This record gives sequence, structure tokens and C-alpha cells, in this order.
Amino acid sequence: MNVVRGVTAGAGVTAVLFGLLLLATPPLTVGLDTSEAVVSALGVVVSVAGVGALVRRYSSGTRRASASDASNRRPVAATDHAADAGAAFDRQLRSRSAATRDRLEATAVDVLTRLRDLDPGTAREQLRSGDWTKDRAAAAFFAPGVIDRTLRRPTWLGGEPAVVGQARAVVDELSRITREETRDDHHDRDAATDAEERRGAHASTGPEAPNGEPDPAVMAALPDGPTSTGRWTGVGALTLVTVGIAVFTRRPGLLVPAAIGVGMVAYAAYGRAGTPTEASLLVERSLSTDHPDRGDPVRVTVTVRNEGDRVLPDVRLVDGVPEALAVTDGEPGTVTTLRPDESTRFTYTVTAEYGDHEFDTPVVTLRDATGERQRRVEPTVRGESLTCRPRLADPPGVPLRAETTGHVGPVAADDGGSGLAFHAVRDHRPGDPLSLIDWKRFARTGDLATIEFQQERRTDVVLAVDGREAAAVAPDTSTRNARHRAIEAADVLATALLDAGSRVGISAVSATPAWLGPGSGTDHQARLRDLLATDPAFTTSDEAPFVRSTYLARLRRRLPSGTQVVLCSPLADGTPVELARELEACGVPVTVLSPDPTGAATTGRRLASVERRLRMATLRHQGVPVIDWAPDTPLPLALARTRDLPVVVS
Amino acid sequence: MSARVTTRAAGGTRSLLLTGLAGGLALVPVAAGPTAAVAALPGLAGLVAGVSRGSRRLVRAGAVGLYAGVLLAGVLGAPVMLLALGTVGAVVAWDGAEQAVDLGRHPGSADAARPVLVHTAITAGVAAIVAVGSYLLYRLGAVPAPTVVVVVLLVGGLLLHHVLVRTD
Repeated sequence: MNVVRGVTAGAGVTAVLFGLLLLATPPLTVGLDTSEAVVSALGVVVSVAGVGALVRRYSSGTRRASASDASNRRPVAATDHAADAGAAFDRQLRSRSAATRDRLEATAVDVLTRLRDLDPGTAREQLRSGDWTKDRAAAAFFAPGVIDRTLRRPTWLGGEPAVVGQARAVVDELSRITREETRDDHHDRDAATDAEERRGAHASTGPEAPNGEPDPAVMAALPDGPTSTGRWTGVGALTLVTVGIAVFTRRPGLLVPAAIGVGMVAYAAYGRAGTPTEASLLVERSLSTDHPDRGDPVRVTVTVRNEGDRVLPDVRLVDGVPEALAVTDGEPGTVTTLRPDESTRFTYTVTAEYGDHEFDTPVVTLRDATGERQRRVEPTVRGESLTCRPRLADPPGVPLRAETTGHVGPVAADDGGSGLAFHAVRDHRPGDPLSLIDWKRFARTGDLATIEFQQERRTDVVLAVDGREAAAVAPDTSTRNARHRAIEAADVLATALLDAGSRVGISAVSATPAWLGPGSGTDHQARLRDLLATDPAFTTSDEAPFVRSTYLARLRRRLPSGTQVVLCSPLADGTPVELARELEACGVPVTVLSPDPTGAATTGRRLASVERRLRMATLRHQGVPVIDWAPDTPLPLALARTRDLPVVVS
Repeated sequence: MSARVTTRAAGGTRSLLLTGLAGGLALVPVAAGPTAAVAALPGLAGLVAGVSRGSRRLVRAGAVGLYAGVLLAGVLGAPVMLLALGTVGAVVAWDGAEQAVDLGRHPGSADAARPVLVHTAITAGVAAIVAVGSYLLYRLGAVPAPTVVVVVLLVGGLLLHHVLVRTD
């Protein structure tokens, strides 16, 4: 294909140059003249062809630009690689996939049966008749009989199709119903959600929120070989227009601009000065500190060196910032020109996050001097990795279930015995210690009674942390993903519980098993933090599928009796709900601590939020307490707000 | 207030200056046919605004306007020498602006004037050589053009059009 195009382009350039030569050399063209009308008509044809090319070029400019600008990825946000919650639905909605309808219907039926106490049949009927809501746009989505009179921008003016607007209305309506019915005492949280939703609704008036970020799917599509940027196509089209006008107006002087245009296009097509055939680039990275604390700024200095023997006129580099690290200062990329053996350097600052973070190979794109061709190259990298292990002070109080072991510990159990806090007074039994006899009562009534105190027992807790890929979701690209927040929560809980004398273990809810049995002591704490920070179960993507029954069987085998489980999971899908219910059914008390990964900026995110609220409602209905942890709330505050748990360990 | 102009294109002030200077060169033929300023001046303004705001659409629309000014001046009878100068100016102004805006979308490009200047300098050099060549070719011969020449130009143009438009 390239050969054919090369030959065609060559023939075109030759023909134009030959024509100009004929034009410039009258003796060659004696006796070739024909009628004026034909000449004028030809001029018009060429002009029209040129204008047509220009218009097509202009109208396809955006799409082409995004494909050719693949190097322009901005790995600035910490969660760039992690899908945001509901992203899949947003994609489905854009492509108007049939799955959209099924998923919305399932969720709507769920909402209506769960929160309005309808049976599924009636719920479906209400959907079909449109009676479930007063919002006509939302009703029209399921009910063919309802006419949606919402005024929308027509699609040919860039508006969204009616069905997309209706789907959005359905999600908004479901979101409203869920919020009203499951309203808990977190009013401030709701206010925040409402505010965010208003912003989101405002931002999503267009078919796609114009946030200026290139689409990751487009970015991944850049092939390895050299590709055309199409930059000079417009010049070629304008040249055609010029030739046409020159012929039509009989202004031979205009053939000079046309000839310059042809020359420039030929330069772009064949000149290829500095075409990057291969480039040897060395990228070295250094960090200001190797072992920072979470939240510490780490300065990354990147040096790029041209080790080849050719000048690279246009080098564009974006560093492969690890998924979990947010860039807080500077930009992780550079554009430059490099002579042989020349080097350049740039710095940016990331915020450290728990874990072992390997930097990815930087994405490097080279362009030739014309800007017409670009090529992606693999630089040699002397990389660095960044390790951040948890360290924590001032642990908060942890609300827990009333399950205790038979051992003495810090938790006031629900049994009477020896202790400090008053529990009950009971009839005296022979053998009760004298010091426990209620002497005042004896003096008053003459009856012997024994005072019981609350026994202080120890709690054993296993923190089950959702490390699956499904948990690596975030409300938006600038917020930490829920998997990291779940790990952070587990770390905070572990520290607090260990400090308070409980024994704590860790289990990874992940295809890769990671387990640390309940224990205490400094060594155990260090092992636990190490596991949380660096175990692949919490950081890598799923290679094998997560099988709930296998996990559950393994966990039950390992759980010592009297142990309770705190499940740290964003509840981004149904698996953690099932897991909690099954554990509870086996007699293991479960508390769910759920970092909220849902946002409100897009329809998909709002739908994900509705689904998550339903899951929380299900769990609470089953008697499993759920601690909802919003992204902007400090964890101790979220823990302190929880009132439905009997024990607070601190 | 700082003297530094902030742009969303790479190279900042220097890219703006470059676009302004080259665009000024493109205005030369307008002197011979002042009516052409109708297209050329808004075109130049669009180019400069495009660089300042980092908008590719504005840059392209501005470049088309600037070149339309050159064409109009040619139709109105501007001397060929001035047309050649104007074309070179328009090409260089567009190329520099396009490069600055394109690079400006890349992380870490705020102070990167060098890739813009190097790129534009090379283009300017090539454009100057091509312009001199075209002008000499034109001067060597005389006009008017017979149809056969037009047909040859047309065929060549359409071939180029075919290749350039279908860059899949």
C-alpha cells in the first residue's frame, strides 16, 4: 500500500512540475491551445476538488489529531490506569449497546422490589407502564407508550440521541429513589453528593464531558512503525485550490504560490530530513528519597540522552508514572530536540503511596523535521522503583462486633465476672469472693447479693482486604482508587487494634492468596504492614479468576474460633456481599468497611452509586454492619460516625 | 504584571513572536492589493490567537485566512515576487504555529521553545529554497497557458489529492 501511494504521489508531483515547466517554456506548447470555456471549467473542477479535500481534512481533523497525538498521554492522575466506577456503563451508553437496557432494567427492578416493597412482577409491570416515576423521560425509556417531550439538541448539531438522555434520566431517578429510601444520618455526605451531582449534570450536558483528556483507548492504539501525522495534507489541498484559481482567473502569477505548495508537500513526503528510523535513547530516573512515608512528596528527576549518531529534531517523552502515584508538581514529560550525545533533564514530584511501585517504560515519540511522520521508540531505561511502607501514629477507635475470645483483653464483653465496669447484681452463690458481695444491700435488706463486673476479653480480628481488580475503581481520575483506600483502612484498623491488645490477621480477597493469621507484637505488626504494602495480592491485576467458594473454604479452615472478620471492600460488585453473607451464615461475625468508589459526574458513575447503595442496604438488612467511608472523609471520622456497633476498641 | 505572556502552546512568547513575524511576511502582497486585507488580517489574528490559546482549529482557520489573503492579492494583480514572499510567510507562520500548539498539548512543554524554533527554522529554509526555485522557473518562461498544460497540472494535482486525502 505504501509503495502504491509513494508511486502515485511521485507521479502527481512529476505531473505538476512538468505542467509548470510546460507553462514556463512556451516553445513546447505551440499549437496546443483550446477554448476558453474548457480552461475555465477545468479551473473550477480543480478548485472544487481542492476545497473538498480541505473540508474533509478539516472535519476529520479532530479524530486524526487524537490518533496521531498518542504521545500526548497525560499520566498525571494517580488512577489513570484504574477504571473509574461505572466507566464500563458509560462506554456502553455511548455505543448504545443493548446491554445498557438490560442492566438498567435489572437495577430498576432491584430498586423497586427492595426499596418500595414491590414483587418483581409488579415492578416490571410498573416499568412497562411508566408508572414507577413521574419523570417522563425516565418513564419513556422502559415504556413505549410514554411520550418523552424533553427538548434536546438534535443529533446533527452534536446533541445526544433521545435514548441516551432517557437512560441518564432513569439513572438519576433511581439515584434519587435510593438516596431517599436509604437515607442514613450522613446528611453532610448527601449534601456533598448532591453538590457533586449538580456539577456532574452541568458538565455532562454534552454527549461527552469535554475534559480535554485524550481517550486511553485511542492512546493505546499507536502502532509500532512510523505513522503519518497528516499535517501537510491541508497544504496539498490548498495547492490544488491555488492551481484551480490560477487557471480560472488566468493569473499565471498564482502558479508560483502553487509551485511553492507542491514543493513543500514534496518535501514533507520525500524530504524526511531526520526521519527517525531508529534512535538510541537512554532514560535515567532518580528519586529524591527511596523510602518515603505515605503522602510524602518525592522528586523524580529524569535524564534523557541521545546515544545515537543522528540529530533528533522532535522528541516527545512521557514518563511511565506508576499507577498509584499522583503527580503533584511539574509535569512528567518533556519535548525537546537532541543532538547526538546531548541530554536533557526534567523533574516532577509525586506523592508517595503504600506499595512497591515500578516505573513503566516512558512513552517516547519521535518526529522528523517535517512533522509529517512519527514513530514510537523504546528507550533504554535505568529505572528506579519506589517503596513506601506504612507507618502510622495516633490510631483511632475501631467499632467492632461483640464477638470476643476466651482470653483476657481490652474489650468489655457482655458476660459478667471480674472486671472494672459494673455489669449486674445477682443472687449470692456459695464460693463468691467476699469482695464482690454487695454489703450495702445486705445492710439494707439482709439478703446476700453479688456484684458482677463486665469481663474484659480479647477480640481476634481478621481483616479481609478486597484486592481484586474489581475493587481498583475510583470516583474520578484524581481520587485514589478504592483498593488503595481499602489497604490504607486495613492498615489503620490493624494498628489501632494491635495497639489496643487485640490480635489481628490479614486475608487478601484475591485470586492470589495472602494470609497472615491473627497475632500480636511488634514483629507481627511489621510482617502485617509488609504484607499489606508489598504483597502482589493487593497490587497486581487478576490473572486467575477469583473463586468465592475456594476462598471461603480456605478462610474458614484458617479462622480460629471466636474470630471476627472486618471486610475492607468498596462493594463495587456483588462478590463481597455474598462473601459477607456466607461468612455470617457460618457464624463468623462480619463488619464491612467500605471505601466509597462511586462519583456522580457521569451517568455510569451514578448508576454504580445506586448499585452500591443497594448492596449496602442488602448487607444491613442481613444484620451486617457497613461503615461507609466517603473519599473526602478522614477514616477516623467515618469510624467515629458508626453508631450501630456495640464495641469500640481504642 | 509580568512581561511574560502565558500561552497554551509550547515556547510561549517566542512562539507568538515567531508566528507574528512570519505572518507579517505573509501580509506583504496585501500591500499591492489592499482588498486582500479582508482575509489576511483576520487570518493573522486567528493564527496568533490560536497560538495563544493553544487551539489547533483557530491556527488552521487563521492559516487558511492568511493564505486566502495572498491568493486574493494574486488575483488582484500583486507582483509575483511579493506573492512568493507572502506564500513563504504563510507556510512558515502556519508551520510554526501548528508545531507550537501540537507540542503545547504534551506534558512538560511549557518552556520548550527549542523544538518549535528548530522545526520552524528548517521549514523556513526549505520554503525559501523552494520559493526561489519556483520564482526562477516562472521567470524563465512566459505565459499564457495552453490547455494541455492545465490538463497535466490537473492530473498531477488530482493524483496528489488522492494520495494526500487518503492517508489511512
